[in-house]
Amino acid sequence: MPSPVSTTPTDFVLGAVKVGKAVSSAHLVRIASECSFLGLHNLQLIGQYRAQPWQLGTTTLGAISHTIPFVYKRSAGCEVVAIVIEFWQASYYGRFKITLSSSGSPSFIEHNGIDGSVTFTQPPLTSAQSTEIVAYIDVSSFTVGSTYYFYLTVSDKSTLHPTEGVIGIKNASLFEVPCPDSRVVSQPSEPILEQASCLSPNRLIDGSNATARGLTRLAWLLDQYRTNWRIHIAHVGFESSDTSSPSLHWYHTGGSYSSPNWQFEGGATRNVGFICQPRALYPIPGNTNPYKIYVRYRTTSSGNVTLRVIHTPRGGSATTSTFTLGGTSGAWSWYTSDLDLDTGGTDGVCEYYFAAKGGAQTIDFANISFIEQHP
Amino acid sequence: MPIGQLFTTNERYIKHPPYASFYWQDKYSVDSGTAHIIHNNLSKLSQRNLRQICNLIGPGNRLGFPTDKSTSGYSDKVDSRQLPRDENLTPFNYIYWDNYSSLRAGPFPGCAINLSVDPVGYLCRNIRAHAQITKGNGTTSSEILVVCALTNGPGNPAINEPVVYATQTKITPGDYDLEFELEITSPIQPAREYICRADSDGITQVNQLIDLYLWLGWYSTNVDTTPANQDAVWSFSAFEYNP
Repeated sequence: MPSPVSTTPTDFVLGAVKVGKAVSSAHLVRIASECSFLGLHNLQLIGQYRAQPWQLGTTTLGAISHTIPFVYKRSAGCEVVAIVIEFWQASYYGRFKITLSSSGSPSFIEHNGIDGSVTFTQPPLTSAQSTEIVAYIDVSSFTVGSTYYFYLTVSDKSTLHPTEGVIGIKNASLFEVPCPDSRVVSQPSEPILEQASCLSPNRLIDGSNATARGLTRLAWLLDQYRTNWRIHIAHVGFESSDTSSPSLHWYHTGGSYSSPNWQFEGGATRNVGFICQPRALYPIPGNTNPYKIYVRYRTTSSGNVTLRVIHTPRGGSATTSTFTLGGTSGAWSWYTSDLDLDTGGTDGVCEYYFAAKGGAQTIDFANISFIEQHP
Repeated sequence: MPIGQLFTTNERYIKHPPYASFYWQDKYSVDSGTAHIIHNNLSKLSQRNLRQICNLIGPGNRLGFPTDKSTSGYSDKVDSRQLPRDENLTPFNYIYWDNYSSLRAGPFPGCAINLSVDPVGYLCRNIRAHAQITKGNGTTSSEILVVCALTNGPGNPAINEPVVYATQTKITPGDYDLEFELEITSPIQPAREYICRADSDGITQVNQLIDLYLWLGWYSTNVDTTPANQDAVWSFSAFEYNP
């Protein structure tokens, strides 16, 4: 049934619930409304890619095929992921294809050309919004909590200016599409509490987690919103088979720890800080590792390399997490490990930067992501 | 604040027994203590399930405009529209909002946390953004203007009235971590339909969503050509926050 209550957090007043007084049906409907907000509306932003026009050198994104990788863990209430792609505007001519692939088996609801079937044309440089396409994939077959990867490949380029600028994607934004509970058809499979069951004179029975009503269901839902809702903190670059030296990718060379080269226009290399706000629901012991780090990388030979995340809770002291990544001899690979991000900073803010060490090897990075795995 | 009440002493989410345990299956009424904990936990999740919006790499140094015609401005655009640059106009008009003078995150669906009926719309979560920049010691008395703006729709802030924006200007050379707190105090109306469910009979379900884009734009009058003396934008991070 359509929701009679807004899908927004409701203003619970604890004082309305007192010993010896029944919990009113209005209260229960508010609980159901809050569940709809948490389970269907407040879904994840998976990642954000932005082409770096300053990432050019002499061989450029105008000439090479490249792939943009994303890491994804499905939220309990998500069935559809939207992929919004903005094309790079330029005064030079270019044509290209975009192909989405995944480690899972998503089916396109609407591909809008990113199945590799369409040759897109580079839009001209204007003051207005660039061409933007939206594709949708059905991820309902993805197991909640499992790790999946998406890859957006830009290929089949045709350009009169192969050494100039970018051809293809300027921005790519992937997010889980919120759903109003009035659109939910099969409620037991959705992480919500059936509002109709909360209306007078129905009682909130114990039920089971497999029905859309009842106390057991409510306890199950609380677990879903707590443990199957994961912040995605993504740093998304691109990968390619190009082996130019210096690298076109985010990269690092040298035998001492220093920042990756983020491909700044002026060639500067420095520690670049990022900021996040790790979720703090309750105190977590320091060694519980509430996050996982995912690194998409390659190395020029087979020796191990190391990556450090130096994270500092605002107002606190820095902690260094060190990860040893196996050599890949030129092949792109994923590395995964546990990561302990601090939640105790002022305003809950955590600041961090990266450092790498690879000896004589060059390490290329295409994606460094943190995804929550709340205990 | 639209978030419900929380326990004020030792504020936290309180873990409960497993859903399959007998605690939830005794067929008795919910006692007031349990009801309080359920309320507190739901409110805590609404308060703390906040999304990271972006972590983007900036262009680095060499931001001097408008003398650097090769990388900015209107000189090579096919349309002739050029915004007037007048200090009495909005700060948005100082910025080209092109490939080289702005970063953009989005679109992403705004997280509606409250309804407004007059005027009609949703109030969305506040956003905190950070830009790590350097004000170089190049051109004397030069300045860098940095604007962070949120728009409902894809048009840049100069042509699409922002929902909210904040600006900062730096003149004194040095490294800065600029913080922009975008408090959304005006209701926003959904601007775009997105497919949210693929139905089994082939009919898709759509949802009207607030279509947010987060912009960071900059304008520098430092035109020094020595890299070490130039202004720079290094990174742009943003996330939702609750007070």
